[in-house]
Amino acid sequence: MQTFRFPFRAMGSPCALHVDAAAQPEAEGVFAAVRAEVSRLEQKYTRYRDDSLTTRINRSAGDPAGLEVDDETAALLDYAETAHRASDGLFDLTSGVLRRAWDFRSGRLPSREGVAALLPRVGWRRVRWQRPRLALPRAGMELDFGGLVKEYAADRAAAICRRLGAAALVDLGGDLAIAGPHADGRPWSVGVRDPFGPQAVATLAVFVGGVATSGDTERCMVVDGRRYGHLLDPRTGWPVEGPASVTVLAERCLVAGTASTVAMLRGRDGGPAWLVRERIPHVCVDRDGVVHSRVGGSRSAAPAKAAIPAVRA
Amino acid sequence: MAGITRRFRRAALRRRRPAWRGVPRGGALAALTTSSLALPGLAHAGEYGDLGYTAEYKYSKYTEDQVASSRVQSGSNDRYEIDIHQVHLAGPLTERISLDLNVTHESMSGATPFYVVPNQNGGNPLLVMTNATIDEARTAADLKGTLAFDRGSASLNGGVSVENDYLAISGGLGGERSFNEKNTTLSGGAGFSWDRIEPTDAESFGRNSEEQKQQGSLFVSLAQVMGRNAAIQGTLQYQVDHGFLDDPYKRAFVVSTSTPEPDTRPDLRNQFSFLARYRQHIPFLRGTLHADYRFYYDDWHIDAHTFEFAWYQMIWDSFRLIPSVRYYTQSQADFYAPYYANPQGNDLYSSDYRLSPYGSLTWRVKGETRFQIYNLDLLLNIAYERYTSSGNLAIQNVGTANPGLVDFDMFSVGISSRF
Repeated sequence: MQTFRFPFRAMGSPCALHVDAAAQPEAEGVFAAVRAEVSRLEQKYTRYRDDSLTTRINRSAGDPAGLEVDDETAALLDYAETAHRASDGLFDLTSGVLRRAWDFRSGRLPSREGVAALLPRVGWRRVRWQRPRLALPRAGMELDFGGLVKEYAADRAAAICRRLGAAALVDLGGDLAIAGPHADGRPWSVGVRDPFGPQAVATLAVFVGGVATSGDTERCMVVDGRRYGHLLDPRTGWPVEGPASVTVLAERCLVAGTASTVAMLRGRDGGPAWLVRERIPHVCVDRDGVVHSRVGGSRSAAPAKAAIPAVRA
Repeated sequence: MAGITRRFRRAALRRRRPAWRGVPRGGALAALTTSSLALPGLAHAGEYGDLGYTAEYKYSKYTEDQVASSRVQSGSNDRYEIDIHQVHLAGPLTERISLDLNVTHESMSGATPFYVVPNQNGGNPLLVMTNATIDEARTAADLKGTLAFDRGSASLNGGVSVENDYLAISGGLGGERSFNEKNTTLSGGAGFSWDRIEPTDAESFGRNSEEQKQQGSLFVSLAQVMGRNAAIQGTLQYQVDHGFLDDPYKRAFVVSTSTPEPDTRPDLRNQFSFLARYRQHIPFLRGTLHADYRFYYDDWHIDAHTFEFAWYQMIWDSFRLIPSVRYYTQSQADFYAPYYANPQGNDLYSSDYRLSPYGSLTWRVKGETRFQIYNLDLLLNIAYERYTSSGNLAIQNVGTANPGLVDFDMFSVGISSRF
């Protein structure tokens, strides 16, 4: 039994399947099934294709009758609604429209009016979702499944591996779904990257489940000495400054992804506090590089550098 | 600091359970987790139990070539045509127990060689075919339960096959154990079958109205993975048949008495075989070679060799093409003859072409593709095979080839889904 690695690109990110198999052909068979499933979801939910479901949904904006969606999409919309409620409105599939005002490469802030003008198109409460019918009543509203689909695809891919009887780790751009431990019972070891450097701040031993990370150190701009990150609060349309990175462990990658996003949107202090309050297993690196973690019932806080040798052992 | 790091290490590395197990959940996480369970494919029971369900349907059409008129003395030129419908369902019952059900229905029509007579004009002997068109149907079901362990499994199976003149009840036990990080697998099993034959038209053909036959078999197999790209397996098998082993619908012609005697065979047959399989993947071609060899010997003195080569070629990520070729050659059973000059002292007669010396060649091509309709993963496969047999293809001594040797086409299409 060996671990085979298949790198590929999907959903705009570098991805990889790590799969345990006796020989290459078996591993390739699993990879083919995983690749096909990820492609299916990418094509279905991408914003960048004219024939995707997301494009059809967004084209229907302004039509109060809306359109009927399939069961899979309905389940994703139900999930998004739950996430919206559980996050006090921070997790919102409609907030993608705000990207039109915020161009982080320009180094210029949008006008207050420009942002305010977009707000009437944002807000899950404006969406009419009555299974199986979905309507975006206002013209210019958009849904963006980007915050869900990569994680969901990782879970689906892991479910396929499980069905094929293969121990595997699916990595879709850093969102991980683990389908069972190695054949000899060992867990997969998952490194949590230091948002300020190339090394790992922690190594997690994961038997099965999902691991997702949200970060706020890459896309941002500094205007007049103030930092504006790319995480936008759908309620105000303005950036929120979260911790440097939040990694969450959960039963499913989808849940881990939602929880890490919500923790970021809750801000530097609010995010970590919420994770602790909700008893969500996580590793959080704050802006000063201090690692807070709560994995398996124990809490700790340590400067990132000091944590490295300890958890790498 | 040491205390903290030790705690962290213990927490992060030493856990044998997923991190959230035993952690009381807050409301938000519970709500998200519950909601995520409604997504297709994401609800799974247990860590190892979910291997999914498989449903498969396959239709095959088997068509034997007509017999050339020049080879037939009397009777029909048409040979068998069989329509085969197969359904396979498999899935877990609990975390450790899975069930596997196969149901087959075949309907068969045509005629078959009855006996062989010498050609009065010289040359090859001729066939006497059955006259009436035979219409028959067979339905069979087989159920297998497998109990999985950490490094192996045990299985129990039972089946029944019903025809208007034939009933077979079978059962078996099997086991499998892997070693050496699953690189080595030892498996073995035992099976039995009890068959009851009630030949139709028994009285008018002077046949017994009921006969029985029992069968027992044993096998042991060792598979070894050899590096990343190759694997090898060796299997030894023994089977014993006891009871009524004759074909009640065939006869053997005795020239001196001009009598077609009933097909009569020994009532015991011990069969041994050895099978070696080799798999070699060639990453640069994205293909895998399957090379198999089988040696067979029984105490009717038939020895046989089978060589089979198949090439599994991946094309894109979802299409697979599998061309294959199989060569088979056997010697004759010691009591077999196309026809007999005189009555036999041991009273054994058979001119069944399946006991004659011959060789055969099978060409086959199969295509498989994976696709999706809504949320269903589907695997479609289509195969075509051409089988030809003749005395010339045998490496063993042939003498006179049986005129009843068959050629056929087989076409099949199957669709399966895992969910």
